[in-house]
Amino acid sequence: MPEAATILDPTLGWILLALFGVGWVSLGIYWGRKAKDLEGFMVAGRNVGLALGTATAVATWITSNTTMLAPQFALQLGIWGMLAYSTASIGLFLFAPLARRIRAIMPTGYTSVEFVRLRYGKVAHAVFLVISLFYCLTWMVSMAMAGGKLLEILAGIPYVYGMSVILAVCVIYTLFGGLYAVIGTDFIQSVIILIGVVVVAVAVMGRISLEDIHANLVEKRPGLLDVLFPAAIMALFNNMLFGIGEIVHSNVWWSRAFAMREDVGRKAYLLAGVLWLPIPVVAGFLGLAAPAMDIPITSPDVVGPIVATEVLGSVGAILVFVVVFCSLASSIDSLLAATGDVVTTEVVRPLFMPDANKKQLRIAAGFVIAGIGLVTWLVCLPNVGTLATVLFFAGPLVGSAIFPIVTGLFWARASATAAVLAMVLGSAGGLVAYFELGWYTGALVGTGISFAITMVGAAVGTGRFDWNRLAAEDIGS
Amino acid sequence: MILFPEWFFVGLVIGAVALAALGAITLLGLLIRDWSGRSVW
Repeated sequence: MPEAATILDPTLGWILLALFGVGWVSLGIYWGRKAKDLEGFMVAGRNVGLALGTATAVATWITSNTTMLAPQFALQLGIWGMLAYSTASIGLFLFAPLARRIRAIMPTGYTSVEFVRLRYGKVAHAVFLVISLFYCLTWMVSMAMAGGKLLEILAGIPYVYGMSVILAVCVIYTLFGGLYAVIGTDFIQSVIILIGVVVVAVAVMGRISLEDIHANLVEKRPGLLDVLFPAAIMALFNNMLFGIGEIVHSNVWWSRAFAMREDVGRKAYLLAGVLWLPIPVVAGFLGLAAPAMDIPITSPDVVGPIVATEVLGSVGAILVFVVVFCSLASSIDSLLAATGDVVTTEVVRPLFMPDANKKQLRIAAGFVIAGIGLVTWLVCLPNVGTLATVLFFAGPLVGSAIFPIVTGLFWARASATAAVLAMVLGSAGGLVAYFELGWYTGALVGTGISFAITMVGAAVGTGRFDWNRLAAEDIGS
Repeated sequence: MILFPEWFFVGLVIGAVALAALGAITLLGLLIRDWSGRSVW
């Protein structure tokens, strides 16, 4: 990409990348001193407080999509676009009671896949493992690819270099520090992101009043203010269910529930939902401001950075670069840690190290994280654009896991057979809907089918699960 | 076409910016509280 087309000077981009890269790795190694054993490495000693617990949920859920795609959503779908994005916070709110329950019934647990194995048995475990790994790996690939592309657009850093550096930095500090490093860096990243988006938004409001932006939209693009914007309203429901499915099933969120102190999980997830809620609106507002400021938008996916740079000059470009880098790192490190935990305890351990103790599993977890990073890098290397969109196929899959997980956590009569059928048929039906009806129906149909099967299973099932079986398991002891 | 009124748009954006700013302050405040009281982790 020619340098003139970039928003930030490439040299400055490299300097920032180096500074933050060295910073995160140093912190990871420093915090890694506490991650010598499996409890420390995978669940941060199960003693995380409210500040770090809240921040890690906020930072992880703010992906580069939140900061980059929200302005594009607003520019194309208007106010409903911003609100649709904000509904992803509902997943955080709904996970709050689940986090408390998870911590209470699995005091020595490590992953969501472990829960499904103990709660529903081997078949459900296999199905859920496939869903979990597909989701985590596609999310990670899409984030790493987005990182490479964004650094190229923002600072002219070639895709392969940018993607490789971001991935390598996250792998190294996660490898050394485990969840301690992930949660610690997440705190710093969440504060940087929140301050960054606020500064840019206030600067834009200093340049043009909100009343003028509204008046401009009424005159030139009234569709963006339409209360009944059908496509945007459908996007809202799909986004909400996809978001709920992502959070309820994924070990990214379960590992944090295991890591937080027993009295912290519920409060942390509720507060995280409140803190995350405004981000898509604040970022999305930049998209709506662009037409009113007469800023020519040739590429809608970079409308946010363009507006920030127009208003704040090079300071705006640096802010956007830093916010995007933090958004990427905070998600990639969490995915590395959470996926590494699942692969180590639920794939490597039963297949290759059935008698391994916690110390051996701690060492294996490091190799697994390095391996996941390498596989992700190899998949991202050719920069096949369609790969990133594969993540959207995960909508029906994760939607179909919502009710088996939720009922499995709270109802002793939730049936294992129904859980398997709900996940398999829900995923299949949702994927058919995705391709035959439209992308916005995939998660909705998958969740609907799964809900019906789960409820019927619970109604006709005669078995009663013994909750003590969950508490009794302690991997590697 | 029914449009979102100006007061809604202004309130939404200002509310979101204020909440995000408050969020950053809250996180820092909670960290200080955890540091000086119960353990951070």
